[in-house]
Amino acid sequence: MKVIAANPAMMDAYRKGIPGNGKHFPDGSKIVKIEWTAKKNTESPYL
Amino acid sequence: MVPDTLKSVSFIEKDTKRFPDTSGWAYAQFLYDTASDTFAPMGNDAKCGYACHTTVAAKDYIFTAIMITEIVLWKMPDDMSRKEILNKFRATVPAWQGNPNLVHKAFLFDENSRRGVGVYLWKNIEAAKQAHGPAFQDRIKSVFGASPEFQYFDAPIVLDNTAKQVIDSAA
Repeated sequence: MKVIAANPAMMDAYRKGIPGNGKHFPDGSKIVKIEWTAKKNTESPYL
Repeated sequence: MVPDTLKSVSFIEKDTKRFPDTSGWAYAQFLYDTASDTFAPMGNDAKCGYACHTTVAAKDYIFTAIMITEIVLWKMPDDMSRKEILNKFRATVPAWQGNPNLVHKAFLFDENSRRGVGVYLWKNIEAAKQAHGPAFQDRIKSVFGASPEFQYFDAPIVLDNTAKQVIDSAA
């Protein structure tokens, strides 16, 4: 199970269509990824 | 599903002045060991991550899902009827339905030029390449006796009136 988060510089770039539009991400772009093993929540039918 | 134990924490940062040798990017990954409650770096420097990310140099070295349209085109055998061709197409439907990276597919056939065409909308190019590797090409060769030709296009904006949605990569 992973969470991938990006800072505003990175998110703004994505919203402008980068990298699909061929342009590059600006300096200051940052990404953090946190990875866990996954387990079932025995309490909630949703999870 | 919910998180259980921590496996890893990773960081990516762009600074073209600090990391000129890796197109501006620095990558770091730390693997967590539950028993000792410590983190161990994956590789020794920022170039380790860069090595993996060079496969997506065209996406500025970041793995980003960009939808693509793939057109697969080949010549049908002259003695194969339209009905036969459609039945062969139809038989492959369940397999394509099981591919989570395929958004939609159209099976096309032109009677005059005897061309068969598959038009795919994929969530990313990697999925297309994976589905249409040597095994697929061998199947087309054995079923239709032809070698398919592949064309790829970025699909940054897709509208679907049936599903009443517009998928815009910049939205």
